[in-house]
Amino acid sequence: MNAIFSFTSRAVRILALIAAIGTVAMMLHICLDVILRNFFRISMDTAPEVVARYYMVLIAFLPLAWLERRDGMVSVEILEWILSRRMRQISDIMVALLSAVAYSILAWTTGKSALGHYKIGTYVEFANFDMPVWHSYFLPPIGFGLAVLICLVKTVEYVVHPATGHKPEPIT
Amino acid sequence: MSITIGFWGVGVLIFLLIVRFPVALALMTVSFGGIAIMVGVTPALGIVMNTPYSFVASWTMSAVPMFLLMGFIAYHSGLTTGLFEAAKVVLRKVPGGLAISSIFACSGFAAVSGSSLATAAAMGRIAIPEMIAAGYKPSIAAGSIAAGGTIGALIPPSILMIIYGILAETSVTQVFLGGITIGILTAVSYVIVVLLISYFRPDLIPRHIPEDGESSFKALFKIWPMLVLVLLVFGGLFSGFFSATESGAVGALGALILGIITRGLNWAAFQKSLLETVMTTSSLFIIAVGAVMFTRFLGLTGLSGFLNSTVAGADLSYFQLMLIIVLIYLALGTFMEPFGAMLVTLPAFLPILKDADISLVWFGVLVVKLLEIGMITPPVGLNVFVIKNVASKYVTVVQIFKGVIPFIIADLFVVALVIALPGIVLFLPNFM
Repeated sequence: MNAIFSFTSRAVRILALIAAIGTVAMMLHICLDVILRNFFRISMDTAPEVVARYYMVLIAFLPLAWLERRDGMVSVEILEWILSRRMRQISDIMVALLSAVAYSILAWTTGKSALGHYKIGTYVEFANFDMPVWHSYFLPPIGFGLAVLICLVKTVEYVVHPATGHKPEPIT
Repeated sequence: MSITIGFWGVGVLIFLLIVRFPVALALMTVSFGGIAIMVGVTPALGIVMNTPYSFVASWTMSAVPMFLLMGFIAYHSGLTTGLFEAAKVVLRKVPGGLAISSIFACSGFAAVSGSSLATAAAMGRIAIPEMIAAGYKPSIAAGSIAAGGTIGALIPPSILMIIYGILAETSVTQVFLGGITIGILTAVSYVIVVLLISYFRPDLIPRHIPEDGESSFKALFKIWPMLVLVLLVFGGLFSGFFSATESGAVGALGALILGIITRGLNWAAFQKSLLETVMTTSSLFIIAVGAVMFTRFLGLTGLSGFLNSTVAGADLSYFQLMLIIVLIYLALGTFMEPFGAMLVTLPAFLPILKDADISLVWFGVLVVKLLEIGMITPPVGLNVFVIKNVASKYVTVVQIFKGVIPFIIADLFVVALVIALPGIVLFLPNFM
């Protein structure tokens, strides 16, 4: 069990790191486009598509599991003060399990879509060449899939250690 | 039948939210279940299959992570720390000068940050200890910063406004321009509150503070990186050098370079800024994906159309319609986080507003203002909790909630003014 905990912990950090690198790359890519267009009259037609199809998908979906690990998903805390300790534990387990089911459906359907795009080799057409984009369809199922794993690990943590429960990962 | 399913869907959504199910997953679950019941599992799976990618893979949306990155880098590299010092020196002779300085510093911080929480946290750390040392009542000191933080999401760049603009299919730049007016109006209303308290209750806010001898010039010099950054972003944006979408990336790179030049940005601060950016982006986008699915579900049920025709049939006046919307947002704001509240409600409200011929630019500005009031109202006032975190040794949560009451009253006046005279907000967007 410890091996699974350690694997998931490492995997979510790596995905978040890739998303962070993607953020820097996106910033530099857009700025380069602005500079080339305004100072050298060179237009990078591909920039909006690369930003949308790769960087954005990377930044949105890869950190999801890390977000779950850190309890960073936005939820309404209206019952926070009303619930007893016991009720809160039960609620935590139910929420983690239901989240795992929801992420599973998302991972399965987006995975199916990714395979479809892989088979037809989806690409974006430009004047001089075709830019393949089918790879980026695999990013959502990777993010959702790892989020399923994290939610299951959280459920186990809540059940095995009811007193301490799941401890959110620090932001470093 | 479909409308009944729509009402059931809304009921189940509220239930899931109350039992602390994440907002994004609650929206998706209800949409999936509802669509599956109405038209079958295969179409429902189709929507789940396509929406996440098609919504996120957007060039326009890239402004969200870029503006977040700009704000986080500016904050973690200390570019914003001079704001309070500069305002303090300039306003030292004004009654309640420290509180007014912190409100102006919040407004300045807002010009590089799109988030209310970041603004409140940044200013709270610096200003609250100083105000309390100068004899301010802790509740008012903390309350003024909790309220001042809300200006962060009003003055552009504003993440809430970008997402609103995209979902409402209206110009983000125009909503930004409207945001400048409401941000300034809010700051002025808070300054009036401080002046009034200082005049009538000097035991809460002392009229004058001891001078620390720093010259105005020296203090103002500290804010040059901020001025350069604001000039770079908004100068380039409004002069057409780059688009609203690109301005976020230019601002982020500008903040990075200024952070390095001023030696405020080290590797740890950069890393933290990046991780906070991806975490916030991911959590916002997944809620937005859920909201898009929920919009499709409501559309299929016919509930949006039903609400539309009901409102039209009820023959509500403009003020009655606005009163209902204001009350709904104020109620949601007491327990919901602003993005969740906005994304859950927009699918129902936007068609009604379009039919009533109400400007969506103006409504975007109003909605963000209303959601920001929710950041300081109990029981879930996120700005108040942030202030509690950064100033826990000075105040309790209850004291901060007491301290924000006069500022909430000022907010309600601003909301009433904006509803009564929409031209105030639309002046700049129409002018440009």
